[in-house]
Amino acid sequence: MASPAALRAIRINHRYEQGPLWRVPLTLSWEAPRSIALTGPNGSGKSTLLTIIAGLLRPTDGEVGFSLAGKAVSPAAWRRYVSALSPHLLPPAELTIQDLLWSYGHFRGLRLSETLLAEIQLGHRTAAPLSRLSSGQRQRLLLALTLAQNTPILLLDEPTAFLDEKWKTFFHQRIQERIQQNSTLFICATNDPDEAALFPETLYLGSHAA
Amino acid sequence: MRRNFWLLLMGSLLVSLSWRPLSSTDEALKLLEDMLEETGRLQTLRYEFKKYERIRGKLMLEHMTFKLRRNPFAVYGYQHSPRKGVEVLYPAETGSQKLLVKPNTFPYLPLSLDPYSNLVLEGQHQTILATGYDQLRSLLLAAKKRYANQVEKLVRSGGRLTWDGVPCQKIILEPPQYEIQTYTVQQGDNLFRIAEKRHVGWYKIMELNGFSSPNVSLSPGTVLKVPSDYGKVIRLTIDEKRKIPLVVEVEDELGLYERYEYYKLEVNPPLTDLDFSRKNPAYNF
Repeated sequence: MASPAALRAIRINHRYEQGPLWRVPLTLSWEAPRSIALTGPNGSGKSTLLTIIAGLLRPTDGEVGFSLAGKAVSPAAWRRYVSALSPHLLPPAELTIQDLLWSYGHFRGLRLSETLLAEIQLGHRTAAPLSRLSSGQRQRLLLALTLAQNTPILLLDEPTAFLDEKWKTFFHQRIQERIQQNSTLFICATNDPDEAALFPETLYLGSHAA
Repeated sequence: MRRNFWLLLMGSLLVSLSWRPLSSTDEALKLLEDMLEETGRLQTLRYEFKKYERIRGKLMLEHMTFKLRRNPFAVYGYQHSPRKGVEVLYPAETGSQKLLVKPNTFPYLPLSLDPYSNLVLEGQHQTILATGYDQLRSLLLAAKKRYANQVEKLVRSGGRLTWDGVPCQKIILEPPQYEIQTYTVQQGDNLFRIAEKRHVGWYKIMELNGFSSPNVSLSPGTVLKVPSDYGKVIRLTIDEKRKIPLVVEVEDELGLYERYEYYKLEVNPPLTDLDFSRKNPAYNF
């Protein structure tokens, strides 16, 4: 899983019914290790850009190329190396914590399940489906699972939404640890200035917004 | 003289062809017996499968490829449409009672799920455990038993046809007393158990009673609507030589309920444990 990830987006834009998302098309050339915060007001296209980076959405304009260890790969192959947390990409609500741990354990090599659950104080609820968790509990679980995966691409969309100050501080430390490991292409969309300040670089999308 | 001989021969052939008792109940019954015996002897199967199921009043189509082993029971399925690339494996691991599903949506991770959960059964008439012919066998055996005194009314022949390049015979089963009955829920019942006891479909009970999921909790004493038989009409298109059904079509009081089509069916292909392992390099779990 340690294949360095690189992404090149040339003059991309995405057109919704109301028109193009960005006033000026975006050109990006990002190669791991790199950690970037995406900031900008609501509607500036942070989530859309993350979805494009995840290989889940093809922009209407421009070209996106993905590569792993110097070899060009298809969006479908790229997606297998992406860990992402986004309100637009939630696992089915019927799944239980156990179900999720099994999948991440078998297929993403997570061996920390018990420690992880104890840390986020969900060890007593393993049989609960996601739909029975509070929004804070669900966010803690999914964020912890996302951060624990050792994939070359890590994408977070408003990771500390729904979390109180205590948990925000807890996860900001975890995010900082991942940034310091400095091995991934780590992109985080956020409206929280403290969170953005954890990242060595910021891309402000507000000035691009149409 | 020679020409007359051929004419005579052809004439008698035509007569004998038209004389064959195509729609005799005896023939249909014999074929049904042979089919029950042959499907009971199967060890493994490989086939392409098109299933049409009436889901909330609309006919839905799924196109799959299946590999099946009867004992110990194991199934691998690959979906061609509508969700291309979805793969399923039961059991997820040896000794497990979970279904492994590789969805084609985020996070692209296989899930190990209860095969009876709502998530797995949404938009389906059958559980993965009904793959193959065993469920069909048990409901046909139940119908034969129920109508033992009037089998000639239950079974008739539907003629010959070619299906997927294979000569077939059609037989039609029409339970003489198909009706919607009532059933009083007993302690420990759920829809799957009631369906199994009555040899009917759990989806059909769900539909008749307006339930939104098969895992609805039932309190003892509740009166449910349950069909008397699996279907009002069951049409089987049976491979004449191998005696295996290649089309199974079920109608209920509302019309077409489900239709299962088998293509490129291989009987007892040599399948190994690797065919039913998530570690098979040809699979994408």
